[in-house]
Amino acid sequence: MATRQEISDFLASVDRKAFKQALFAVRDEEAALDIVQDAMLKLAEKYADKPLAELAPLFQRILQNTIHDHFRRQKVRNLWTTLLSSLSPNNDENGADSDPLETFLPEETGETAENSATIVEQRQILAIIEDEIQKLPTRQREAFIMRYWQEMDVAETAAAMGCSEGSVKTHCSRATHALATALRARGITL
Amino acid sequence: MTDSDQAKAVCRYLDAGAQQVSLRVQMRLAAARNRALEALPSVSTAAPPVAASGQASVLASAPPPRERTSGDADPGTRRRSLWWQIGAAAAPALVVIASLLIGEAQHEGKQALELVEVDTELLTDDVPLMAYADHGFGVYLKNTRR
Repeated sequence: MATRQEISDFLASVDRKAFKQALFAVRDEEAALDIVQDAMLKLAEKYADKPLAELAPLFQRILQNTIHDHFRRQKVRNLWTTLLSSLSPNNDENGADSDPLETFLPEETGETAENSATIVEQRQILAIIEDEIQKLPTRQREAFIMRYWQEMDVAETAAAMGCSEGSVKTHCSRATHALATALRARGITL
Repeated sequence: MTDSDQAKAVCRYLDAGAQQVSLRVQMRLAAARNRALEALPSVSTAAPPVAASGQASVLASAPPPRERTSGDADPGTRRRSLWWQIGAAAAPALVVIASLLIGEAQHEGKQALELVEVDTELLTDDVPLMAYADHGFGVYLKNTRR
């Protein structure tokens, strides 16, 4: 059984990747944060008695299920929104509430022009990669992220995805080829 | 470059991206972690102390004091809060039903008053009541109005 400190360390080690993973799937920062929080709560409430080694695949499975739940709820919500949209006044959605300071990333000072150019280039490549990952089919993206980014083995990934190990290998291979092709088409060679 | 190498190269960029999340996101994630830790049922924070004497062993074998968390209320409190939730959910429906019943009662009262007025006028008129049932009288009234 993992101690409180071990669970705390585990959550700290996975939270950012989990957030990015949810963000790739739902493409909405607030929804992604809610999903990560829900997944962490479920893990703490129901699986805190599990050994530390089992927490990573369990958390992945919970995260995937929470993402799927989000899409199910969104489908129902969209139905009602469509029905009621004609009754509600148009609001400025992108709006007034967003504060640019909240998402501001401070630039590192004291960099040479060459370093700055490299940093900008790296950020551009990262943005393109993230964009292409978002475009991948859902199952391929899930398999790729769990297998390669979360460094889970094929069996763990298959268990978390609820499919066979062969399917995981196929999804991973297709995802890698699709990414390589897309990046090459955009002039990026890794 | 193999599939694995390609994937690892992509993952290096993804790692860098995960480190560049905004301060607001970092704070929300920290808050989420804290909430998750508060929701832990009861997890030991350290290994139990080694017993040095008989009394210490008795103390060590005793169950540790249970921390009470926000989601760890006693059954009575939980039941009461459940009833409050049910009451809060049912209140709007009860208000709507009550307003419909009141509206219905007012409408019926108004109709009854109108009938009373008509009856009163008919009964206090100079013409006898049975005259209105006579077909010829109806025609007479029409003609005189013209």
